Amino acid sequence: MTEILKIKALGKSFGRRRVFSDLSLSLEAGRVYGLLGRNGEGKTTLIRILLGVIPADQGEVFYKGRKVGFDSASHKQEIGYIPEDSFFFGGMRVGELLNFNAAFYRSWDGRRAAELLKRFSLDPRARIRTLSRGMKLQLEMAVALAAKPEFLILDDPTSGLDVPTRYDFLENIVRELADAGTTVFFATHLVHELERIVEHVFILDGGRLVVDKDYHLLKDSTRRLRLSFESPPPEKLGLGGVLSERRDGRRVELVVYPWSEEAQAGAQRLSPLHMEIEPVSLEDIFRSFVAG
Amino acid sequence: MLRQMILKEWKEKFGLFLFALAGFLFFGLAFSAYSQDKEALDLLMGTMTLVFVPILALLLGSSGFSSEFRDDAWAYLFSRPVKKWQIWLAKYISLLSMLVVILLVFQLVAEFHPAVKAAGQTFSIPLRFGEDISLVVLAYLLPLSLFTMAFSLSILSEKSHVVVFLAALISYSLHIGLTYGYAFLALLPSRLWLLSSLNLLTFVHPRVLLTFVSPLIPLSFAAASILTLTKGDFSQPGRRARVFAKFAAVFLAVSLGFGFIWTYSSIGLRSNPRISDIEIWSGAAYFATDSGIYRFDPATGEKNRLARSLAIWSGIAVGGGGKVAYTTFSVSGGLRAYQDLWIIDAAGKKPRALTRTSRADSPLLGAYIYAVAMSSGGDKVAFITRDLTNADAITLWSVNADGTGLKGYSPRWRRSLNLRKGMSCRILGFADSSRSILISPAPLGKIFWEEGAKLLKVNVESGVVEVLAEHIHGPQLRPGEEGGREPALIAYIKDDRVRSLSTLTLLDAATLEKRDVYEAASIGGFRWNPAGDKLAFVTGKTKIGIYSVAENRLLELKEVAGYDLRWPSASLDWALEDGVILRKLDKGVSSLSLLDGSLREQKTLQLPFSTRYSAQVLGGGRYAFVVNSEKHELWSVDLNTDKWSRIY
Repeated sequence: MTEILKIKALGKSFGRRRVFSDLSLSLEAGRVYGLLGRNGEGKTTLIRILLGVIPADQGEVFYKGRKVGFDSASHKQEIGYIPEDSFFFGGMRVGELLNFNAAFYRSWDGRRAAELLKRFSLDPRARIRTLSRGMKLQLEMAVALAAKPEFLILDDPTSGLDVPTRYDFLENIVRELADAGTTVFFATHLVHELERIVEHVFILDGGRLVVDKDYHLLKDSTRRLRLSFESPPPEKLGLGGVLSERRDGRRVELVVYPWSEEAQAGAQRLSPLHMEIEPVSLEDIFRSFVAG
Repeated sequence: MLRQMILKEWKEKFGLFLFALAGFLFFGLAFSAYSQDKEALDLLMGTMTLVFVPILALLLGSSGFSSEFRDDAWAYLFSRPVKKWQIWLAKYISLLSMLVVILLVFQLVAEFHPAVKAAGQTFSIPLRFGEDISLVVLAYLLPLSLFTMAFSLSILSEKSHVVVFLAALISYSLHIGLTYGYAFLALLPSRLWLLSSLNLLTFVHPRVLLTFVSPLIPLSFAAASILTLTKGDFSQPGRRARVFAKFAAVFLAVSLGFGFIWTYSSIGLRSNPRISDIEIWSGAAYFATDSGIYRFDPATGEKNRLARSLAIWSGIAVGGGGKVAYTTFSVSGGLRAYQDLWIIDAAGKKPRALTRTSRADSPLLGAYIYAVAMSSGGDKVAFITRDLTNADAITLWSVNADGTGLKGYSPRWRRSLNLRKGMSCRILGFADSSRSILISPAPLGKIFWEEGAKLLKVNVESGVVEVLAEHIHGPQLRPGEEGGREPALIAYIKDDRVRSLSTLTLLDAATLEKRDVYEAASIGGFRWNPAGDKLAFVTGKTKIGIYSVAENRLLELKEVAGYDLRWPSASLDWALEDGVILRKLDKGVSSLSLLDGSLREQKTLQLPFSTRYSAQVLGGGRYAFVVNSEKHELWSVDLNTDKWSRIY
């Protein structure tokens, strides 16, 4: 696989508040990446740095092996961006926004833009300020896709959308792009949505990257463990890799990573009355990593 | 991208464009309604040029990036695949195109609306030392400068009104600092010579400041704005402002440094302090510089510094026996500067302060003296003051040469003659055995040699004011003699706007008898001969006439080609017995020509220096004097031997 994006030791602060530091990650072409983190963890900041909207305090960004700076522009020809909020110029009409963007992209496909408008039932003459949140997202999508991006960055675009629109967006559009080989970098705090499409997961917490894993490997090696005891369970269970622990009387619920036969044997040595081992969802993994 | 950006900006700011059109429509109607009222037309022109158009430019410029921050669209714009300086430039050009269209509408209004056109031809704003800037410079350079400044600053705030305020404040502060800061620098003690040397920048012609240094200020801010865009963090306003301030400081320093280098290289490191005024009296040259007042007698070759004086703004007045009245600054009461009027004799002895503007008990406390004249007998001095704390308080004063008899004339003549602040006023001299003062106030916003001035006689004893003439310009009192001469004869140019005619007129200030000397479509200016019995005047740009007062007839009227007669007061004078000296400019070479009484060229003497500016020529009998206003030198030439000497 070809590396499309690499970040080395990136750091950013706003005043005295350090958003993240020493952040390094690498993205391979053609995969779907999920960037998870609570609100305010720096997902949008990271994306804005990648897009040259704001500068990093330290660190380097490489796109297709070429170092890109704050004011680099040519690599953005290949990057589509769907922002969290609609930054559009409200006074414009739908068609005008497409024409406006067409002037920036060499690979702009006008026919595709028209097709997308038709598919989303968007009227080119409609003023953007009159569109609903979902329609604006579709318009953002049309703009991003008409530029035929190799790398698509989505910054929490589905927050605030109703469920059917979110579903359509993720199932149809993002899946379609991923199938066509576009690298997708999806930042969100609505974790369960990613589950259906994500291939690799990054989790930001406390200014650090706490997870950088292939999603299926991560899921396969994380388990929920439910233990019931005859008497109150020991204070220290002595199990390794416990991400989260919840106690309820004689019952204990654990999320363990990495899960292994040794971990299972360790649990059995505690002689529980009952022991249940379950696979976990991405949301569980996320919650376990960031909430502890 | 540029086309799309232009479309976007035009769509977004079209409301402002409509506002501009509505404004011009309003002004057009107002000009029509007041087409016969010259003062109202000037006021309207001033409001349109100095208020309305600059405000439009500020609003347009400030909307540049402020609106993108307000709508949070900046991140969207910056994520497009284009360099940030290209976005800056595209937006700048887009909004500039709108400003250009607005200015074109302004130009169309000025071209095709008869009243606006008429007002535009004569409208100008007095600038430092009576230099004026034309409507074109005001109408275009000022809005362009303010627009660029506001656009550059619009990257700092989402609040347009803050940007408008900042841009106006910085622009005007810097321009005022550059234009007037020299006076304060001149007050610095000599040990701070380095700071004082900054003064040099302002020695150059004001137009240079306007056309060269002034555009560098908004351009510095523009460069800082672009660099901030490519280096600054737009999610952090404080950090962004700090980055901008740093770049702006560097670019401003570079711009001003460039201005200094340019100035130094053009006038030389060892340039003299500026010559601010010169008068010829009984064949001797009296001249004021920023380092003092000098008297040069070409017959003996002696040059004496009569007084050390800094920052002479109001020129000098020379009177009976070669006494010199002048103003100078002093610092007292902390850092406050006071301007006082002094008088000194021809030998540089007996200096006497005629005013004490720093004294709390003085009626002149804190006054700014801006016009000085001395009676031909040298016994009285008249001057005009403006109170710095109340610009409306314009007062005419007279004082005896020994410092006694200070008397001010303020309320009666100001009220009755509607003299208002900002009005430029010149004192021609005394009449009626020094009992009256002749003054010529120019209309609001005008300077005295433009048309529209009045000629007034103020009786020093009774305070009665007589209007001797109206709609005139360039009045000159006949040269004085020892002990004065009666009656006072005044020559001036009368302007008839209806018939588009100018008339050179003589007026006896005592009998009020008037005599029309010469009438033509244009009379550029005139000079009295030292004896006060002849007038040499320029008409039709290339014609010179000589009129005899005693014979009441034109002695000569000739077409003279090849002379530089644009400013007759600086390019034409009398010399030798009945000769005339003229400035000549031929293929870039400046010369001085001597013509005889029949206006036949006798000789042409090449100036001993090269200059890009027009050198002022003055006659003084056998000698002629030439001021090199570029290097601040004064030269004299013996018209018999053709020998040049550098006096200063």
